[in-house]
Amino acid sequence: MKYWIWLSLLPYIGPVTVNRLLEHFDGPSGVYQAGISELVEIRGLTERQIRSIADNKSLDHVWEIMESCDKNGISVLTQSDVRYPKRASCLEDAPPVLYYKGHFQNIKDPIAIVGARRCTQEAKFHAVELAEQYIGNGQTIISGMAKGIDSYAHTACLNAGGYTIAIVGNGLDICYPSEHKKLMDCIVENGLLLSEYPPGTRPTRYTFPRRNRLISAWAEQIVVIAPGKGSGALITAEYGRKYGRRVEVISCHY
Amino acid sequence: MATVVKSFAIQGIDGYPVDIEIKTLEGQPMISIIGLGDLSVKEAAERIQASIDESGYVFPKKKVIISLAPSDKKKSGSHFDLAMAVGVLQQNEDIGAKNIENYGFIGELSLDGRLRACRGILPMIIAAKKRGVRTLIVPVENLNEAKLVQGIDVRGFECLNDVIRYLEGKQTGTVEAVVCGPEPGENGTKQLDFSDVRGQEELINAVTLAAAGGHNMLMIGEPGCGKTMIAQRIPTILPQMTEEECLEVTKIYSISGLLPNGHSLMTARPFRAPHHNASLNALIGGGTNAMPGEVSLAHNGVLFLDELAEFSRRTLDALRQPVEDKKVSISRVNGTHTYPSNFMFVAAMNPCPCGYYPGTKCRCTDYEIIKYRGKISGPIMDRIDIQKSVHPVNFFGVDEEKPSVSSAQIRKRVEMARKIQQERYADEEGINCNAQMSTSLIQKYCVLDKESLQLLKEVSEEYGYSARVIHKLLRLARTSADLAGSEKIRLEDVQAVLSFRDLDQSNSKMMVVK
Repeated sequence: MKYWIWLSLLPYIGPVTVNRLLEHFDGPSGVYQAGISELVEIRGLTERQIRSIADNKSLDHVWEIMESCDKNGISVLTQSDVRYPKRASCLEDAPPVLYYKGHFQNIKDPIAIVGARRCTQEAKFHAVELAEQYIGNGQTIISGMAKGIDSYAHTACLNAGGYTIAIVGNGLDICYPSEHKKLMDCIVENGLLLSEYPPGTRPTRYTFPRRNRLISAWAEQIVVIAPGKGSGALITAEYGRKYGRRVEVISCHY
Repeated sequence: MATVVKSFAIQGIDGYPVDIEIKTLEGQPMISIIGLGDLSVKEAAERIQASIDESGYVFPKKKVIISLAPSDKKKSGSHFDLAMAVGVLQQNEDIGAKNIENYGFIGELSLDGRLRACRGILPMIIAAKKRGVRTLIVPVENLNEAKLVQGIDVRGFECLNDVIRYLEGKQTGTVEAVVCGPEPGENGTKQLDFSDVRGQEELINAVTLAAAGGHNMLMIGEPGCGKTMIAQRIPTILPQMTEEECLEVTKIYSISGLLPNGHSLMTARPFRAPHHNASLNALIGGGTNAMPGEVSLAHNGVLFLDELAEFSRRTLDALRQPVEDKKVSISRVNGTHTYPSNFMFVAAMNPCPCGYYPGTKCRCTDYEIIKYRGKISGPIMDRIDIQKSVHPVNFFGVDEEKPSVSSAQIRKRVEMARKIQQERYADEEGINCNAQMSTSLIQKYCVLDKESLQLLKEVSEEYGYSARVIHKLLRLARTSADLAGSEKIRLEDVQAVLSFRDLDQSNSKMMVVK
């Protein structure tokens, strides 16, 4: 476990490289123990990346994270875990480690409902209606727990007694936005809260697009409601197309 | 022998007598004022020296000691000036006043010997009358206020010289009232009338009900829809104040220094609308001398808090005691003062942070809206019976709307309903209106017929009303019946009041986790 976290934290090494490294070595501990000579042989690894692996052998930060996870009731899901959905783990940029709160359940035809933070009443009713319909089919609803459409999708799902997955762009010890505290608690109790960021990570403009990618990776189908121009919801749709998901965009009149 | 001159001071809302004792001793010329006076009392030394000089007398070239008894009570204010100056002159035998103990003196001196108006005259005069002072001497500007108290001879003067001449029996002084300015506190409410309001009939009904049953009220509406306009007119439909109530209000305004010079009794109910950055002390009362705050200034009138959600939580929570007990106690080092605060609480707020929910302009999320509304704590919300949303008026259609009934007509209905309530609660201690009904009284007086009960049950289930909210609805229905002069609560009363919980209804429809 500690080597998984260590691997996910290395500077200059993203999920794609991690997945390539894991093909060559016997799990993350293999990477940890690998010498420079072994690393040099792997194609596509830059000098900077090799140095990053070779020089960052300290596990202090990893211990800190594991301690913080313990304190905040956060669990760690690694790629080797059977609960890590195949549809997500087979992608070349699947994060090696995910942090989660809540419980796993049989995820059936997961559908992502994402959309504008600032939306009209019309868009809201649309999101709620869709969510209720999919819950009626027994599907799992995935969203990003952001303001607006995301929160309505989760709420409709929870109020209907459904199972929902929220994928967020910050550490799970932080509630963002703060008014969703109750929603977050409710998701942890009745669903699953996921993040690829260790506890303590604050939400920034860089973390959200990666969060959106993760939503696309976990969902089978994506519905985007009332997205604004260049909004994060459209990034989700973009990734969805790349991963070959069914994407539907519903624009509402402003 | 020392000279003793009578004056008065204020503690809380009441006045008390202060004996000003003057003694001159041989020694270095100096003046010493003792008796726990604050800076305004100490500075009197300079003022009385200047005005005695200006009036053509010579200030004694001796050590002058002025003592304000009782010496263990802190005193403040410049109204002791006149008494001190008269006392010094009498002690120095510059003037030949006889029976100086029969007089009371209130007034600030200016450097040229004129008398200036002071605040808090009314409570001081009441104290003077109680003490048996025969003649009270006040600045002429305060005469109107002073004349409110019957059975004491009050005389107004313009300068120290006139006072001296009067004391020596050479002049009589002004006895009759002088010209009045406009009444304060009413902000020109005389001109305000509900007939100015158009297209807000439902809201006016709610306001009438609130006024009739003593219910507190919250108006929810987008900016510029007329919340403030309505609130300003509420004092015009409340029943006329009794003389006793008028005196109470005037007393509070007097000690706060809010009565303009030359003004007498306040007959219009006050309307106070403090801004939302008002501090806790400004609202409740406070300061070193524990002055009355907005809640007391709104006594017997209306306290209107606009943008309720913008008030700090601490400030709002402090309103609980005054709203509940109809009085407020302020404790300071100097002692505890209790001021009355029997006001009708009217508040206004926007439905959401941007202000335009549920219009198409609004982009607030339901979670934000709930958070915004949650800024008003439960205990305050509990004390508000009526939550009414205000709909914007179409400016161009306004001319077609018929004007609302006039304030005078509404007031008549309100007074009638209040009378019914007074008779009903004649035997109940501390209960004057429907809003104060306890649970047991609700069971006694708010009996519903089968049909009404069924309706209430259905609506309550739909919106998930708690027992507390249902009690509020029953109280409101009682007032609605009283307004119609009906002994029993009718189905239409229940129907009418069900639309008075707009915020609860809107909240229950929010898309948030329960």
